[in-house]
Amino acid sequence: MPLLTLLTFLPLAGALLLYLVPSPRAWRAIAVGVSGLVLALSGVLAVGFNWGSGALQWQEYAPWIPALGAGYHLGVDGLSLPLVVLTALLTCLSLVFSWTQTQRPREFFALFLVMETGLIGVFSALDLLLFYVFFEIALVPMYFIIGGWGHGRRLEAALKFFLYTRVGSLAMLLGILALYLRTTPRSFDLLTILAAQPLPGADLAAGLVFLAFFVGFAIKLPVVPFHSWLPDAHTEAPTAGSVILAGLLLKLGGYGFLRIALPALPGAWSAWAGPVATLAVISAIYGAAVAMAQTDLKRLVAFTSVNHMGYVLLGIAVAGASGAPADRAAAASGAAYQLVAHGLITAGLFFLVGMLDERTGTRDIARLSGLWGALPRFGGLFVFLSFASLGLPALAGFAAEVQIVLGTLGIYPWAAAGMAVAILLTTALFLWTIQRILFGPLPTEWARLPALTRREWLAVGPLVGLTLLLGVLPGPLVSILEGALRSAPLGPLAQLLGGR
Amino acid sequence: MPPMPTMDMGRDLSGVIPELILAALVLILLPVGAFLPAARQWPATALALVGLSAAGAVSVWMLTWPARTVFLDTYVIDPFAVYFKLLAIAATGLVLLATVSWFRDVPFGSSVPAVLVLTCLGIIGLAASQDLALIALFIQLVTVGSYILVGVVKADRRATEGALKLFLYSAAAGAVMLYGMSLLFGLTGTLRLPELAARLPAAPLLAVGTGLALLLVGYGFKITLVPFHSWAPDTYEGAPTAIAGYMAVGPKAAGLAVLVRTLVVAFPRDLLGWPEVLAVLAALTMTLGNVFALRQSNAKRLLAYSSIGQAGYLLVGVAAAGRDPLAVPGLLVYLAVYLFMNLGAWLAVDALERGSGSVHIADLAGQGRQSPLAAAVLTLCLLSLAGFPPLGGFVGKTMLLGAALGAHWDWLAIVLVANTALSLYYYVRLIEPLYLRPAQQPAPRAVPGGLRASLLILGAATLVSGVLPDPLVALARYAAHLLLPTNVH
Repeated sequence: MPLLTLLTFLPLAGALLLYLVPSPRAWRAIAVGVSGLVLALSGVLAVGFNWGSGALQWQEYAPWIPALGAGYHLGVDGLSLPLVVLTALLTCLSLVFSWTQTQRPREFFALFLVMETGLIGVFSALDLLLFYVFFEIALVPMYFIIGGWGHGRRLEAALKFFLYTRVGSLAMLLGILALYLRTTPRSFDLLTILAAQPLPGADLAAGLVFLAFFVGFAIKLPVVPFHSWLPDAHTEAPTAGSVILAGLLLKLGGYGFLRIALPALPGAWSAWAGPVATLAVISAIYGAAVAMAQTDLKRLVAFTSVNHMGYVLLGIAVAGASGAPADRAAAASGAAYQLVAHGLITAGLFFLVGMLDERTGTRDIARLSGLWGALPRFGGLFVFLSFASLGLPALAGFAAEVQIVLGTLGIYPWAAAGMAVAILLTTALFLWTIQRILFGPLPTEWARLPALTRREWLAVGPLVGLTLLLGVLPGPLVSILEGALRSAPLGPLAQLLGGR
Repeated sequence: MPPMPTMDMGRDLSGVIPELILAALVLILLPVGAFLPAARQWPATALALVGLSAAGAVSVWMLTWPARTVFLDTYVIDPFAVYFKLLAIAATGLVLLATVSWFRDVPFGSSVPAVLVLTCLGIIGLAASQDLALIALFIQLVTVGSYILVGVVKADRRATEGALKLFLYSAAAGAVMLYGMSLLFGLTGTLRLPELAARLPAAPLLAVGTGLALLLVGYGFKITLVPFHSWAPDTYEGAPTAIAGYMAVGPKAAGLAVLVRTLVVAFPRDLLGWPEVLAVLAALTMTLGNVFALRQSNAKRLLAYSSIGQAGYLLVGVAAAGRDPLAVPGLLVYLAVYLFMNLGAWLAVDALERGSGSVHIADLAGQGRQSPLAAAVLTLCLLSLAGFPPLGGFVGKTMLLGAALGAHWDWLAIVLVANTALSLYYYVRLIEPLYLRPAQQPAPRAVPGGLRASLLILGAATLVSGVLPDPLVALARYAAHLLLPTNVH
């Protein structure tokens, strides 16, 4: 059964269905229903997945543009499966959270569903041209979501996001075409390209292609100095949009590194791992430090993404460096784990900031104080997710960060030290933020804020539960991630470590 | 001495059935249009559409014919020429459909269908000629048709200005081109491209280079190659919007067809390094078009500069022809898609203009809700022009980008990518008001049925050519593959 095709295109069909049904009352039910169905199907995918191996499964193939060597090739392995499920989950929760959307709801829901098609497509495409197609399909709706439903400076933020990410994806397209042209016979099929290894060395050609992919994915991730689109986009986007942006769109960068750039350019990675690790550490520290200086709570959370994606890039850089295989494997698996963990935690934090904004009408930290007294349950959730984000043991973020730090320690001790500084800063940042907004005197204007609704619990609850689950029980996810990273030809570790 | 080609009238005429149909159509349409009352011009359009369909059907059948030449080796019937016949017929038919009854209040407006078909005949002839004299003739035919179409609304001063600019420019460019042709004839004693190919290498390089450069002026004028582009924005702005769209698609395709045939057939590619020269011109054309498009406040002028930028992308395919197997197929795919998306964008602006009476970008605000079809097609076509998947423009652009990289012109690929990124900025300036700004005007008038049909067809074609591009890519490869053997003869 073509389950992956069904998963990929069901949201698109749902978006079309929205335009066939004239009754506005039915739209939100359709949106939530379709995304719920997708979530259920992704559950079927996960249950049917062989957790013992993590290697490529659920493959589908059909000719698409044979004249150009491009095929409709889908499949998931242990690296992409968690991200497919995460996509289905976050889209569904975002739509649940947007149940009360009254401003042009049909377009709003349709854009989210189209974006879901793009994202699931990206995470399951095994053909680079198809990957690029889905990559862009996932980005275009976000322009309209930020521009159409965002806050204050929405048009500027949307345009900046659009242009920045466009530059990134075009750079990636150059890299894809370079790999395509150097594979004989010319092919966009990822498995074929990785098996052929057209650019294994660290010569000029490989370096240029590496640069193209690096710019493409570093903008998406984002890495300092390519990050300046992120704070505006995340801050001006509507809550559900920020959730998808931080939870999923950023993951395209990390996933792209692990899926394409690392395994296709092993030599160039080894040569450039040091500078990349430096950038990663700068990103991590810079993100945390700048977050501290923010006065807008949403912007603060946005900058913690720069910080966390710095850890991801560090893990990927270490995986590509030369050193002990065990360390590199740990770092790569930690980076992949961080993608999932950050997706859950930061999505939850953006939901919470959105709830607060809806109640108080402000995100200005200076005006928020003593909220624990008014909203104790909200306070509990905020503390939980903040602790998860700063990497408290037994929560999802810790499992990721500890792997990255341990892997890095053996190869770049200085980078591990830098990351420790970043973690320290993040800890201080969250503790300080909790102190500022939850404790202290409660202004009278916030004394009677409405408690969290069932809709809001439904949106955040699963994220909290999974954050705890992945922290307490990291084993299964780590095992399929490692399985995927090690299995040839798709896993980067197989290319990097396998004695080719 | 090779044997003189001989003429077999019956055999030769059977090769130009589409051309004969169109010529007959022009002769019928001229009196018919004049006799019909001004308010009921649709039968003329319907007749023209039937005739175009017949010519199109024959052309499809001709795709399967083996390549051959007729009329003393001056006119080629090969899949490459047939591909352009199909493009020209499609573009003409869609513009006819979109302009039904649009010209009814204009004096001599009834001649528009006939002139459109005449211009179409010129485009078709140009794409199939391999004799410099025929090329000069058909270029004039295309220009005269365009000139009438641009200036037909005589009451509009801007239309007259646009037509005059086109006329003066084409006269000058045509004269320069003819001088170049006479130089080449003087050097080789022949006007036929295959014979030129055999004799040019022996001729003095400087003279050949001068001849080629002068030839490029005439062709470049049609293609809006920088620096011969400066007529285009004024002419497009003055022309009726649908006609401007036709100008940006039809004559440009014809110019590219004749440029490819001339260069590939007559000029060996190591001669004078013309591929490199053309690569530089392509980079200049796309950059200049895109940079000038950035600051336009008039949708028509913006699309005019965008069309110049797009011509730059198309020229990449010409420059890389023979250096990478993706080049000519990429050019052909992009041309077909360019027809869909560029004509779609122009016609959508036409529809919005008919509704609101303005082509200023600021007046597009809120049109996404007020004219959903036109706004949706405009958005789709603009995203395709910007190279977004899964739309046709992405497939063509990817092939051209691949051709630039495959030709080892990494710099050109980077210029192309930078321009594509830059172009998004001004395409978004058109999209943003449609959906993200509130309407400032009362709801506009409804869009006429013919225009709606054209928009639907073009929007669907833009989408389908991107989602399932394989038939188009395969056809383009077939048409490009057979371009070269005709000159082996």
